[in-house]
Amino acid sequence: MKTKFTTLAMLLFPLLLAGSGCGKETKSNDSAPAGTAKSDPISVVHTGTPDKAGPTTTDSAASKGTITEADLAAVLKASKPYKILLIVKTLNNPFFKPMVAEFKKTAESLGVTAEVQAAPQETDVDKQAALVQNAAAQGYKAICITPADSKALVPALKSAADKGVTIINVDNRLDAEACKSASFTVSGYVGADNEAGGKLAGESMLTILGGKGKVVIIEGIRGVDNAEARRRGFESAVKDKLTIVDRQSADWMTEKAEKVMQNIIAVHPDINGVFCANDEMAIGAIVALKSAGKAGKVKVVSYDNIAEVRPYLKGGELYATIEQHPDLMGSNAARMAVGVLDGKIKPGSVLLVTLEEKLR
Amino acid sequence: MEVGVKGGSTHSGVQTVLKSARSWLVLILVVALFSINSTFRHTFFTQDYLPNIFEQSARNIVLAVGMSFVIFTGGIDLSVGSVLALCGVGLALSLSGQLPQWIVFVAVTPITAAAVVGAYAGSRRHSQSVRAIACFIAGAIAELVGGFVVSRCVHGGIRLEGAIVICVMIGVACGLVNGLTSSLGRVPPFVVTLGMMSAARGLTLYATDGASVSARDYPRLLALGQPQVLVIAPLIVVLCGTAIIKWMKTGRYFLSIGGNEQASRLSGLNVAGNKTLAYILAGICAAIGAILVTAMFGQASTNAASGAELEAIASVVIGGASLTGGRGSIVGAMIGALTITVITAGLILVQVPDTLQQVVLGAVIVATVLVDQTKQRA
Repeated sequence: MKTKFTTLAMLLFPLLLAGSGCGKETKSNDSAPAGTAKSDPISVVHTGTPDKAGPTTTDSAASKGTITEADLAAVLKASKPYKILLIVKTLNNPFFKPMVAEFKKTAESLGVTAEVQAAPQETDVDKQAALVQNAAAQGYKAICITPADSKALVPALKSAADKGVTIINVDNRLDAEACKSASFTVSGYVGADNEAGGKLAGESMLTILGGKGKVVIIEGIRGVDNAEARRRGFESAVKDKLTIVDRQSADWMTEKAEKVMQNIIAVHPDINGVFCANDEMAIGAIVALKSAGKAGKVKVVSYDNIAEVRPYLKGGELYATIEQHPDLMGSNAARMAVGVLDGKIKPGSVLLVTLEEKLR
Repeated sequence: MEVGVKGGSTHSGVQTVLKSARSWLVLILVVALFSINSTFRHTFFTQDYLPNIFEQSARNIVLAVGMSFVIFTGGIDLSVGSVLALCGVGLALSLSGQLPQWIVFVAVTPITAAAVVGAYAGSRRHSQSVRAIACFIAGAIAELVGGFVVSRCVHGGIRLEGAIVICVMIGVACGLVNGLTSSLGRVPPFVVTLGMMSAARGLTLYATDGASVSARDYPRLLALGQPQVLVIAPLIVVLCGTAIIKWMKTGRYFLSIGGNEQASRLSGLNVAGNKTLAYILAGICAAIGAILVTAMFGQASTNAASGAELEAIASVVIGGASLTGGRGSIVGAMIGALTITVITAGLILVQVPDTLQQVVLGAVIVATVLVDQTKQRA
């Protein structure tokens, strides 16, 4: 009996101490001023987060070759019936549904053959890499891809590009550093600026809370570019006005978000708002708030605008969600691929689709 | 099961008590360690908060009970999370009358199996070939007739009771396939259930085209997701599980098969049948979990309970079961599930960053078993 106690105690205790220490450290880091923070969505350099996500990805690529949807609308018909492929992270997430549908529809109107493939899980990097490899062998002229990992997929994409396949990066952005060191350049990027979206969510939260209060953030999977960017954007928007009392990851999942939220309310019963980095987690958070009798009182802002959250928006449990138009990403990815193949669009172009704050 | 022989008669009694209290001790130790932190003390031990721990463990407790049966027989079921998602989607789709026909045919598999078994037993006095034909015909009729009748019935959407029956039948069907393939087909359970884990998740996606299915318009279903139900339902499942293991022959058979399969077979036990039953029970538990989760969120997500199988296995192991089978208790599995919840919740309460939470959880799982092993060897 004695051995058990001592071993477990020895194991748990330092971890507990180390853990709580780290918690505080992260916090002070967050509230530290992030240097130059103007409200320009694109050219902000975030010095507050020296971690994983390359902070300068957005500006360097966005400043050169940014095109608009009107430029792409000029691509009406493909000169040849190309075979193009869209590889999404997973079909598990409703977010990709409109993207896939619009991609197929647009490809058809352009007169090209379109296929869609996906890995079984959102985090299956290896599976996605295999899909890229196979696609190069199957004779696809262009691959549009929402990479499951901003860095890990670069080598696979590079070898496909070397075989003459046009690579269009959609949504989750490839890491600029990783591309550079592999001497790989994408032929185009279509997506939303997640950091600008996070900022929009932050502004939305400021509006509803009247510029002051305590908020928590429920994040997506740690280390994934768009999860980090949304959090950064939100933090920079509410900085100095709202107090971020805690942030926890719920891995994009409803069930986990519910548990996390329940525990957060227990420690911080006085919070005024929650930012969830996607809608699925917002649903979980709302269920927890409801059982604590705080639904509607604690304001929830989330991201994606999937069909499932509309009833919550209508009911007032969810204040706002950020729509980043996956449908437009799908259609424009197809146009960009065909445009680059036909030489109508300059390789390396960047298209940022419009972001929208959806209220009730 | 194995009470210390070395310690003599005076020691063995104490040891048995300690053994049964073992999983409790881990839980108490974890709570005690957390209680050093004052925030934890002031939030955890309140009337408002404590039920949350049960609520947050609900799904895991139910899955862990199902997993226990399988682990007791010396098997493993990696598919419970995926089966839960499939059952949930089946439940939500049948309520709204959008259930695809092929899921109906999956759901009537248990009826088919029953018909085959019935035909086999009924044709006892005939030759082998006649029996085979009888079984085939009975099975085919049951599958086709059952499938078409049920799909007619659920066509325009059905009442909650019917949808729950469909949901449970899907769970039973998955368990049946797992059990028969591993026991009669002699494929290692790890492989069979790994395949089922992938297949069931795939079917979930195929049935819904990737989107979640809303079930918000069914107040009677939502009533099952209330906090009180989430506390009581898992306890009932644990009670039933304990009853099966402690007081029913089947439960004793599970442990005996896990302890020594060869000996059990030689002493006339129906090993294949009992093993299959264990997987079916795991499937039923997954279906119960699906009902709770769907009711709780008012929707069936296609990514529901991903990774839940590992959490359930961890609960069973923390609860003192041996992964090679033959030893363990249902209440232990429940305590294991509660321990995991207390750890994850506690780490949030004391504000440990989420990245470190996984580390602590992993360490506790390994430490518990490590201590257990060293003690057994001593």
